[in-house]
Amino acid sequence: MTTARARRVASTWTLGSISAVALFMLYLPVAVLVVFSFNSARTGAVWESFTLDWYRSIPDDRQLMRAISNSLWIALIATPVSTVLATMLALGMEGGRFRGKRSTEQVLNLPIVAPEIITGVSLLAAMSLALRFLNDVLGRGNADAIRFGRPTILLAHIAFDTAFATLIVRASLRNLDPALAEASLDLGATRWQTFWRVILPAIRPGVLGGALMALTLSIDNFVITFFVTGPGSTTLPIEIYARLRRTISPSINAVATLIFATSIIVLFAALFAQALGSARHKQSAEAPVQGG
Amino acid sequence: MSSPLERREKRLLLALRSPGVLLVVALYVVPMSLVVAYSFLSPAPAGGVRWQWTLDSYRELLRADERASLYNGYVTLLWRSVWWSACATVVTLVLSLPLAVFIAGRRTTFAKNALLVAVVVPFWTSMLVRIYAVRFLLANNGPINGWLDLVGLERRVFLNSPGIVFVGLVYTALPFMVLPLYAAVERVDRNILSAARDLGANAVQVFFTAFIPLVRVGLVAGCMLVFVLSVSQYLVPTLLGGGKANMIANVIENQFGEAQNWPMGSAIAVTLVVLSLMGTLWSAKINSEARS
Repeated sequence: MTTARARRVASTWTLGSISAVALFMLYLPVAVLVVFSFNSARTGAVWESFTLDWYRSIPDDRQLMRAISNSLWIALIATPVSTVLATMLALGMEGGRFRGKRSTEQVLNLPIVAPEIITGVSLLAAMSLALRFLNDVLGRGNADAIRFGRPTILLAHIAFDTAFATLIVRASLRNLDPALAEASLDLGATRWQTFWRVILPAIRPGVLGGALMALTLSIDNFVITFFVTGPGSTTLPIEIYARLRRTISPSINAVATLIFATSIIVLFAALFAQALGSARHKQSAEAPVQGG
Repeated sequence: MSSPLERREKRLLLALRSPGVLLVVALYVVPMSLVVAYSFLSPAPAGGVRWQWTLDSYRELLRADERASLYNGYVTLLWRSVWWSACATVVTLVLSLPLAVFIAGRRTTFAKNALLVAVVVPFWTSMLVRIYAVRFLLANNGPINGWLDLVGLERRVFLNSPGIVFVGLVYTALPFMVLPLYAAVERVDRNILSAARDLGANAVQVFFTAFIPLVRVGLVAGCMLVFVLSVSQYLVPTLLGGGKANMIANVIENQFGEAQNWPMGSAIAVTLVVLSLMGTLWSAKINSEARS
């Protein structure tokens, strides 16, 4: 009895220490980066003193600010568009059986399983063909041709954002009792009313989670964007990458810290939305008969 | 057969999912098919293709000579990417399994959730920022070398070597392994493990004959995810390897960029996808055998 107990304690300690090492490895680089973004020294080798100068210099960096505004422009359009598409897709996919459901599933899985480098070069190949065709049809010459830029990035982002957001919306739709929608229809509500008053309120945490996922993916994406970007449409990750290849200025640490902080805020918003959703779910399950 | 009402319902669902499905078809299925076609065409001088069917790209791919000196031949590079990714998958698994078991073993929901969030944060953080953080930490003029200086040890060159690319692969893949593993470990019925113990199996036997078969589905899924992610990594070899430890994604990018040989790039991309697909099918086969 005591040996079994001792063995259990020992195994917990072993597991705990390996876990601690894994988590330490996972966090050390980012933690050091965050700390050194407040370092006044120009190199990372020594800690001089605390400063906010690198953060203060961001607004004066016009190129960086343009990259940030490009990223935000793309993310702020791609997020709502892909959330709407994902919600429609989720409703259409979870609504019942249909012919070709399996192959449709496989198509929708493609953006999730495809390596980003493959998606990137495929989009480069297809979009340059499409742009050439479009310029021919519109009769645009070299001077006013439509080129790679914000529209091509936006299209690419909407596609992968939609695929990932759909996963989350579908998961919350599957948890929904189908009797709810049926009851609403039986009671004389139109489909439109049923969606807005019954289904959407119930799956709101999933829709919100999908939107936040799309937002993060869009702001963070590098590899796919790299292949469909054009002059003047540099996004924040592309700008950072370009600077990394030249020199390492400590201002990059400040920008990277800000990106990291943004991801964490969005993640906690998503987790909070989910927790709120499950709390409400539990509440309504506990008090099934209420009101009329 | 089906009532008009049902038919209307079906049409509605089709209308709901059409925009999303069409988007994914237009931006994934069509471009990827185009890349497959391009791999059998001849290159045009300034990027793009000439519509002349040939197997030249695949012949060139199989030629294991040193002509592409920057990349030591394509077969070498393909093999290196597969070998490094397979090793990185094993190391990631060895680090992740104890962490997954440790998280699943926590008694309070709070401890469990806190640890899970600790794993999800890096999962959700920009890959570029995480890899840059590693590069900053290990740079010649970075904090680690600064600390080595402080304690009187000699500075070391960590970056731009195959070893650091390998560490980078494990570092980026870790959260992708822990999450599916945790989901599998969480579902394991502990009574089966203690039954095996009571029947006289020792710890090693319990681990390999009871525990591993029980988590096999999640384990294979996690390994596959990590392998596909690693084998197509672009940012890790670029930012940590500095051109001295290129992987297959670097060659694909190079062929579509500087080298302007799109058919060659397409042929390598197709080969990479076929390799990943073989892995996926193999893991699906293992899992379907596990279920039956």
